[in-house]
Amino acid sequence: MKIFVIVPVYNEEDRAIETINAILSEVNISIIVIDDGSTDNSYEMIKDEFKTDKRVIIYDHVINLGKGAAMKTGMKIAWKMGGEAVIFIDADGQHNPKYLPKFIEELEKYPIVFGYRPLDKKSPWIRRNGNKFAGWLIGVLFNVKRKDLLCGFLGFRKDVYKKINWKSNRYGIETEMATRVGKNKIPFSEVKIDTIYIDKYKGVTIFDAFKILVKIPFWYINK
Amino acid sequence: MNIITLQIVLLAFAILMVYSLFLHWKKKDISNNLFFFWVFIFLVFVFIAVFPKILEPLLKELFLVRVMDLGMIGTFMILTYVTIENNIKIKNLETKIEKLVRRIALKKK
Repeated sequence: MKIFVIVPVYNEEDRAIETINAILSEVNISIIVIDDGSTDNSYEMIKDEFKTDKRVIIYDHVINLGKGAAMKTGMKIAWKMGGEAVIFIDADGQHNPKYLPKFIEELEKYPIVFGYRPLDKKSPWIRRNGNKFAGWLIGVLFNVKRKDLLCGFLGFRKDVYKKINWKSNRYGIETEMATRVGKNKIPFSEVKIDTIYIDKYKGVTIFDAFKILVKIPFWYINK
Repeated sequence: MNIITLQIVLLAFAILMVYSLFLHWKKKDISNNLFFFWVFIFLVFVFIAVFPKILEPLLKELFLVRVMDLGMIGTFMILTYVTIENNIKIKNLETKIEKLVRRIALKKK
């Protein structure tokens, strides 16, 4: 199966190169990097660093559209290049690429593979309980049990893409995807990954969580 | 705040809005039709603010006591309509921008 790793990048000049190198050291597959209109030098730095490495394919959005849109662009490129599955990994280093072989192995068996971080006391209280609440709510409404609803380390095969095609551009993609998995009763697997919280001001904030909550009824109506 | 003070506030608001519309019209941000439409709306607004009693027959029909109540209900209805319209237009614009940006990204290679 031809698999691409997709790395959406937004203002990650400090960490993106390290993350890409870490991925390359774990697996020998192509990486599609989508710079989502970064205002720092992320795009130039990545382009410069990997200009001779054909495994790293770099594209950019002229303006920032959000992680969901960058993921979708990467996915469309992967399908165009003959990809049969994609795995998404954040550029900020919060997802350890050592789990990529496990994701690849699971994708052979299941159409969708989600990463999950154990929600123990190491994770911030608000994230832990917010995630648990959202997981419970989505479980009740959409009949899908997920261990970590907000984890962006995930992969899926091309044959299920149309069933889980998300509309969210910013945060909320993972939750929307979970609702579509429930709605379409798609079998999935979950891979336990490390909990690494890099920056408390990045990722899903309490305001993003509120916006996700507001969207849930719309996803339910469109069930 | 008595009725006269409120009327002055409403008049000042209407003048400010018409002035803002005028500036946009001069800069050609809005068309003639849109400018005159909004000026007409604010003239009606000023007329009602100055002569609120003309709405009294309508108040009886709607079982309302004060013109202010009618104003509030009317305002909420208009704002809800404008919000829904804006929301739909923004969503459509977002979708179009996303497609455009993606097309540019793919064409670059």
